[in-house]
Amino acid sequence: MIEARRLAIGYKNNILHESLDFELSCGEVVCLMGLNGAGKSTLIKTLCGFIKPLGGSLKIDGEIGVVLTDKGNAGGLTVYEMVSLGRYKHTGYFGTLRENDHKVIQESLKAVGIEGKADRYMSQISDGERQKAFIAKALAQECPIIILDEPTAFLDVTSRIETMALLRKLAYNQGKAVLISTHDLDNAINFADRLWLLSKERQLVSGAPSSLVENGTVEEFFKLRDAGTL
Amino acid sequence: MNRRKNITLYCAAGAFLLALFLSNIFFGSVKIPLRDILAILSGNFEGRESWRHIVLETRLPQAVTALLAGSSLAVSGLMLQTLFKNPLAGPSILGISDGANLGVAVSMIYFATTSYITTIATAFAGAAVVLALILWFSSKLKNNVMLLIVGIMMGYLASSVISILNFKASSDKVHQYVLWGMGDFGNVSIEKLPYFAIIAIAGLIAAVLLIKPLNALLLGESYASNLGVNIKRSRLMILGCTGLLTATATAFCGPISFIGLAVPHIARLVLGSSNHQQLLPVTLITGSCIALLCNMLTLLPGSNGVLPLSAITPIVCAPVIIYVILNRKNIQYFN
Repeated sequence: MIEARRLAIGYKNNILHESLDFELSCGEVVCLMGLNGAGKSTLIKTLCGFIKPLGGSLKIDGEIGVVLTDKGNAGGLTVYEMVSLGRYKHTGYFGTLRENDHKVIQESLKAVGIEGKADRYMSQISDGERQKAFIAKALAQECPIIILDEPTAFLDVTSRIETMALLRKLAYNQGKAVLISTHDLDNAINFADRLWLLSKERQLVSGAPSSLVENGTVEEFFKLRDAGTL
Repeated sequence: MNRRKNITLYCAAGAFLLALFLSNIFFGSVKIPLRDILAILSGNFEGRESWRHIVLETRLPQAVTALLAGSSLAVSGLMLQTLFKNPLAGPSILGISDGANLGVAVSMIYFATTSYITTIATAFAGAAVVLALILWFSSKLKNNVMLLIVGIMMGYLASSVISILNFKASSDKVHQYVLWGMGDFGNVSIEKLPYFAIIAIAGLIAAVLLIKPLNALLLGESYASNLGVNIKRSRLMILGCTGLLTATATAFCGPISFIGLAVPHIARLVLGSSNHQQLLPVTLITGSCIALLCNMLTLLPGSNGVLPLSAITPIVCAPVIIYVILNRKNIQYFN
């Protein structure tokens, strides 16, 4: 679904990476890991189209639904209304929802398991539920690719596991390509099909969690962090 | 069930608006019997010509002006609050009204013009300059409180320039400007009314057409652009619409503070939602109601004349803002 060759990312006077190669296929969960400053957010922003790539090629097959760390100002919307914004491209000039839109919204709410909270205000639900609501919004967009920027950052342990398990289920059941940036190594190893390890020195290293653990790449990656050289 | 609640709300708001509109026509500093007013309105009045003049050429245009100016300012405030993700934004807080004031001052004092087309054009230019500056600052300042303070500073700057202009001007021009500066929905005569109404209604229609992107912008610009909103274009259209509505209301009625800031809050509290599909129409109606109410309150001294409008709007609106700030923890849209 996503294929990058010699992709250069960063900002005009601050190039972070000059040549990244990676691909993301449908039905798989990939966790993007890296230290602060390694360029995770920049990579995510580039893939989402918020900033332009500086060079190389980036092919994206289909649209992307995003879950970001922005808090927004949606506290006065109900969960249902917020998720319905995912239908933006499918509705007419005034954003009036048709029968099919309502169906998609209800299915999305069901898929993340918060259909019971549909009439609550966004400001009344917990952090974990809010994250699920945003995932439901991304589902309502009906995009083949979902990219999430640190979706578990502000969640407690239970909600972290729940969220990761939910994303894995969505990838398998609905064939979505799911890319998650995270700092949470344990859950990344448990739930991802592949890890992308991003660092200044080694660019992007991709592989199955088990093989990256076995051949010592993960250990090296995090040891280097302990030594403070990354 | 929700729909039924909304219909009840719209009916109540409509009835309230109608009652206020009629009160504005029935009551004034000159007492005219209700029966005669109805006769004047239906065109069968045979009595005093002065009464007909008061009702048809003073009270009626004044009520229509209040109705349109109130909704213009309120809708501007709502759009600014959504765009800047700041519930305390508003045309007067961000200095946009002051920009329009400056434009009017330049045309009244410097060009000594009485043509309202020139006045609107200069008011719009002033508002547009401040809007452009605010937009530029908003890309530099991520902190919303800082942006508000910059807006307040811009307001002061515009006021300083106005004072300097006044200092250099002759006293009769200053007097004219000071009168305008008190704010008055009665400034719009029956001849000017069509021009004011056409521009205001065009601005309000444009605002209604912006409901969809406004809703998406509640999630922040990144989410909105991912949903398919053309951020640059939407932002320009929202600001252009806000500038037009604020500048028109200011040019015709003088600077009217607080309505743009307070009314969107009243509308959200009554409606219990930030969804612009309902919030924008309710803000529009509430803006008209509050403006008509304020216009009524200027008559309080009775037959001894009328109070300046600029003294009334803060009395009605400021308590709303204080209430909202004190209760922000319990108000959904603040969290």
